Amino acid sequence: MSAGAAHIVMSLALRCLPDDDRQWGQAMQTEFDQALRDGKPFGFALGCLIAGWRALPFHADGRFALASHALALGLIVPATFHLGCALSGVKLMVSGHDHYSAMLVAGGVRGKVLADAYLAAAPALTLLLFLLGSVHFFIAWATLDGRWRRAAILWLAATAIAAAIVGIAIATVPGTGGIAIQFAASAIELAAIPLLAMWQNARAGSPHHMEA
Amino acid sequence: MIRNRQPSKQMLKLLAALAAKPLAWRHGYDLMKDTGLSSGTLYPLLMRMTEQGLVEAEWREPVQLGRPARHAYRLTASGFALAGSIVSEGDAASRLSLA
Repeated sequence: MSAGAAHIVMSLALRCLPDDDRQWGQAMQTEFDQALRDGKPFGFALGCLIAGWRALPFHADGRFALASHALALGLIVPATFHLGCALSGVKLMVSGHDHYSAMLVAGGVRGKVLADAYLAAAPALTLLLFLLGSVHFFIAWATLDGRWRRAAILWLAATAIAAAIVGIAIATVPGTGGIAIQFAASAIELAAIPLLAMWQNARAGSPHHMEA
Repeated sequence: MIRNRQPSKQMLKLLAALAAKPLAWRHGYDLMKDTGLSSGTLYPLLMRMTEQGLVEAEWREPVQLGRPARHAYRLTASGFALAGSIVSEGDAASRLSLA
């Protein structure tokens, strides 16, 4: 394993340690140089990273990092789903049919009308789904960076895009299951982003962080 | 500091390695080699034992010029007493099993 990869793992390990253990981080770093000279840096760095991960739930910085990464992951999963749907939309526009439109067409006269509406709405839906997925990726990024104002603005944009999608979907696609999920996801984001922002502000204002 | 729990196998290895040279300051990488413990086990153990007052740690100037200072460790009096009590318990146990 290359020394470059070991350096990256070691940097990650040091970032997992709380401010109180900065001295221990420096100690690990100097011994890492020793392991590097000995030709075994990767195993050493990986051990330090595992130790750092195991300690995360036991200090305030670690708990905050876990919570913000969980939210970021919770944003990346639907973002990937939305981008996947946008890709399906592109395929539909290129080929002119998919299994859902085929199912609608098979459903008689009303189905054919819905299929036409579905096909007509495909370009707008595809664009909106692509935007929604991308915006969710940026919200995840802003959350990890602690840029709460940017995250809030992006959340507003995501909610507007989601509302437009829901509007089009109500007109063309029967059923409200997806709409309910979309509203639930927006509500969770609405609660989680300010909560994390308040948590970070409280940590920044604590005597421990003011000293650091 | 009084320990109520039995020391783990890893802690026993570390205590034995440190007690073998009680006055010497030992470095983390050397202790890893001596005990066979990984860095992921050794450092949390050293942190805990330092908090418990069993091990003392300090930055030591390098032997070779141009190298950075290294964090070094050795047993405190409490740590040495604990290591001694474990050795004598072990001796008593082996005497009992021979009897």
